[in-house]
Amino acid sequence: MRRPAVLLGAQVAAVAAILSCLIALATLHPHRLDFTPDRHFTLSSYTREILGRLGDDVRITLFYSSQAGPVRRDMTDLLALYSDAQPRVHVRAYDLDRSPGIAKRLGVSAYNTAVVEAGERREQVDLVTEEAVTGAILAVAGTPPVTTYFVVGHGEHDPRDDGERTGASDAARALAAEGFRVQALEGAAAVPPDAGLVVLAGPTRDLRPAEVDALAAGVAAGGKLLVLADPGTPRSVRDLVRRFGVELADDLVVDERGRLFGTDGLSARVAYLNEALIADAPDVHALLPEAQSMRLVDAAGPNADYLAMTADTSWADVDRRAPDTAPAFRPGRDRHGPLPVAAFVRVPGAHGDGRVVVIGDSDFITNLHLNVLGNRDLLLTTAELVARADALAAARPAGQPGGTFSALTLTARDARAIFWGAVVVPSATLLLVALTLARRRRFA
Amino acid sequence: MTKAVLVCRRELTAMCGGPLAWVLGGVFLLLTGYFFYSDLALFVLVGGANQTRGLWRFVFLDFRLVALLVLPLVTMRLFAEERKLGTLELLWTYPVRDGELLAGKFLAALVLYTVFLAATVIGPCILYRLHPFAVTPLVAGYAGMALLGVAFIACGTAASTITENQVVAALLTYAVLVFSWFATWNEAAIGERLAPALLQLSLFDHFYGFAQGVIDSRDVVYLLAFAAFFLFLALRSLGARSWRGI
Repeated sequence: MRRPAVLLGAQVAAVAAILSCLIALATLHPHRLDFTPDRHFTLSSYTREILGRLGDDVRITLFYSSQAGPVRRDMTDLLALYSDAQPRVHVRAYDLDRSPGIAKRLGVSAYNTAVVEAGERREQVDLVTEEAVTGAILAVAGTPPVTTYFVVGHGEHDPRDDGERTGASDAARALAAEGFRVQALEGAAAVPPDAGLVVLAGPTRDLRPAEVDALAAGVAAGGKLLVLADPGTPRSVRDLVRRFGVELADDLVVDERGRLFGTDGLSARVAYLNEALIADAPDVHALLPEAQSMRLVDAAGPNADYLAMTADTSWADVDRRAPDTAPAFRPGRDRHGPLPVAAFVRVPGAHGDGRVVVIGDSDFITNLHLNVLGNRDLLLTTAELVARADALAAARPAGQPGGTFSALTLTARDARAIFWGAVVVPSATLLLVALTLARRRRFA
Repeated sequence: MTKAVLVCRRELTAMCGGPLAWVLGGVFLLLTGYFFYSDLALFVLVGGANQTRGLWRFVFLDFRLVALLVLPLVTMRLFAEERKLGTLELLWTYPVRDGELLAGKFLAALVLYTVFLAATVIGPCILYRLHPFAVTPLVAGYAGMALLGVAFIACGTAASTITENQVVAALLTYAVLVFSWFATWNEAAIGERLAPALLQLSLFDHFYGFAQGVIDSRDVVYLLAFAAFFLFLALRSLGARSWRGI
C-alpha cells in the first residue's frame, strides 16, 4: 500500500511541476487579445513610441489599498502593460498601510499613487491612467520639460479656465502630461527668456504693436510659436503670421459632405498631415469647429510649408455666409477643397531656427472639443513639432468621456421586455419541464 | 474516443431524463437573467459611458458566481451516484478505459453547462435589438465563462470520484473553488510575501481579465492547467481501485 502512495505522490508532483512550467512559460511570453471597443488594454502607439525610446531603466512604484481590490487590479493591469512592452520598466506594488517606510521615502501619503523614477529624477502620479503614467515617464526619462506660455489678455482661450466652451484647462493638462510646463502670460510684450513655446490661442482683440514685434522678434531669435487663429481673427494677428509667410484667408471652411452626425456641417475635418514634416503621421482626423484656410506667400527669410489639409469634400466660403444661410457652394467665387488649414514655418536665425505653426482654428482646443475625434492628437502633435526638434507624433491614448450618466437609455417598455425575455421566460420554461418530469416520475 | 462519446451520450440521457438538470438549468438562467437585468438597470442609471467596464464586467463577474453555485451540483453525481448505486463496478467490466469514462462524463457535464451558458445570451440579444452595441467584449466574457466552467467541472469531477456521497462531492468542490476565491478576498489578512503567490493561484483573479473584455494567454493557460491538474487527480482516483484489488 505504501509504494502505490509514493508513486501517486511522485506522479502528482511531476504533473504539478509540468503544469507550473507551462504557466511560467505563459507568464514569460504573454499575449493579449483586447476585445474592448476602445482598446482599453492596449497601450497607445504614442506610449509605445515613448517606451521604445527609453534609454534608462524606469522604476514604477505603486501604493494601493488592499481593501480596494478592483482599483488595485485596474492599476496593476495597466502598469503590467508597460513592463510587458518595455523590459526596462520595472513595476513594484505595495500596500500603503503595510509599507509606510517605502511610502515615506518616496513622499507618498495617499492610496492609488504611483511614483515613477529614473536615475535621480522622480515624478508622482496621483491618478494612475495611461496618459499620466506616460507623462511621468516622459518627464523622468524623456526629453526635458518645455516651459510653455499661453498668452492671455486679448480674449484667448485661457489654460486656467475650466469653462466648457472657452476654457483650455484640459488642453493645458494634456500638454502637461507630455512634458510641457504650461503657464499663462498676461500680454506678449515681454516674453520670458525661459519660454520654450508660446501659444496664441484664438485672440479676439488686437495685440498691441509692441506685442506683435516681441513675438516676431522671439521667433527670429530661435523661439517657438503656436498661433491658433479663428475666422475673423484680429488684423494684428493676421499681420503677425504674414511676417512668417502665411496669409490667413479669413474665409470659413465648410465640410458638409464630411460632416459628423450631430454637428452643423461647418466643421472642417483634417484629412491629411504633411508626412514630410511629421514622419509616420498618425491619422488624427481632427474636427476643427470653425476654421479658416490659409495660403503661403513670399516673405524674406522664413521657410513655410503646409502642415494640414482638409478633405476634398470641403470648400471655403470666402464671404463667411454659412452660419446664417444654408451652405451652398458658389462656382467661381468659393474655393474647392482640399484646403490648407495649418502651416509650419521655419525661421532661420543666428541662435538657431525659430519655428511657427499656424492653425486656422482655435476652438478645437477648448474643453468642449479637445477630446472630440483627433483634436487632442492634433494639438499635441503640432506642439511637439514646433517645440521639440525631435517631434514625437503618434496617436495618444483616447480621452475618457466623463459623467456618470450612461450612454444607454431604456424606456420602461424596453426594461420590461428584457426582464420577461431574459429572466422569467427561459427559467420558467426549464423549471416547468423539471416539474413535468418530476410528476411523470411520481406517477410512474 | 468513440467510447467517450458513448459514455457522454449515456450520461446526458441520464441527466436530462430526470428533473435535476432542468432545475439546475432553470436556476442558472433565473440567476444569470436577474443579474443581467439588475446590472443593466444600474448601468443605465449611473454606469457612465463605458459599456464594457460599466456593464459587461459586472455581468460576467456575477455570472461567475452563478456558475460557482450551480456547477458543483451538476458534477456531484457524475461518479458518486454510480459508486453508490454500484453501477461503477458494472461500468468497469465493460471494455472502457478509465480515461474514456472520465472524458465521457466530463464532456457530458461540459455540454450541459455550455447549453446553460448559451441560453444566457438571450438577454444581451434582446438588448442588442433595442440598442446595438459592440459585441466583442462579450466574446471575451463568454470565452472566460467557458474556460472557468472547464476548470469548475474538472474540479467537481475529481471530487465526485473520491466519494459515493453526492453531498460530500459537492461540498468538496465548493471548498476548493470558494477557497481559491476567498484566499485573496482580504489581502490584509495574508502575508505580504504570500499575497502575490496566492494572487497568482486565484482562479477568480484569472477570470477578471475576461470579464473586462481581454483574453490574456496567461489566464487561458492557468485555467486549462487548473482543469488538467484536477482531471489528472480524477484519473488517478479512478485508477486507485487497482491498489485495492477491485
